Amino acid sequence: MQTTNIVGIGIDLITIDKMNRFINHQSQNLHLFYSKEELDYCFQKKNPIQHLAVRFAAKEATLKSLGIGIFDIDYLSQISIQRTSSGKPLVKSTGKALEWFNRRKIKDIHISMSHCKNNAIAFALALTDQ
Amino acid sequence: MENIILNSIQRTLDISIGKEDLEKKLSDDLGADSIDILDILFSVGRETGVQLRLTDIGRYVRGDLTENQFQDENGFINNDGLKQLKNLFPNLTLNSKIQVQYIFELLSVADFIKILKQLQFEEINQHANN
Repeated sequence: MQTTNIVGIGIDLITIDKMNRFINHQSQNLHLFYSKEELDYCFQKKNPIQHLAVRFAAKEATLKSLGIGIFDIDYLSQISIQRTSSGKPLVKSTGKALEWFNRRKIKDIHISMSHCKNNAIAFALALTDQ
Repeated sequence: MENIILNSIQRTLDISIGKEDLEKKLSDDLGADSIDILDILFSVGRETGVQLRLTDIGRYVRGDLTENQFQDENGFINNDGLKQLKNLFPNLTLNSKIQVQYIFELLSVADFIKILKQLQFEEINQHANN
């Protein structure tokens, strides 16, 4: 039987006000923080800022669960929070983020996210099969 | 360059910074969190036309050490890493072992300006030489 071990947890909370300001300042640089899939998904929503905020929180929570910080990857867009066909959040990594996934022998990251008018929060659980 | 960085910090944190504030910690004293740091970093890049990668900051902080020489497998900065941090930022107060993700919380306004100035100059010189 295959064993799965939890190797890290992470949580992050962000206010929608702060995300709104961030998006206004960084409107030209969004591709450095979000993948194309994330931007396409969020900007088809009625309240894109809430969806961008909760994904930002999920990226930060993922970094914490890996035991690394924002200065250990090139851009936050290297961690992309997508969805399975059933709607479950799915973490996809590229570039330097993928290197860390491999180095930490991560099999999967489980993510839980929630947002409302004022706040967005995400929790990450890093799993390995070793 | 220093003014661009200082203005970006003031605008992002919505505060006024005088000479007497340069040794204040960005996080503990001025309330900056990671999204603020990203906002400052990429706003400076937009104004100078030179966007840094987040790993450039990590590389600068590690000096000659590799990631594995700087931190242990759980992301805690090891003794060599702590020595490097003290060399780079002599005023840094380190009371206990910390994880790399919390490095930015240790930095003062002056430390952050020092990092960004140096990295921006390196990038500009590299572009000029290419």
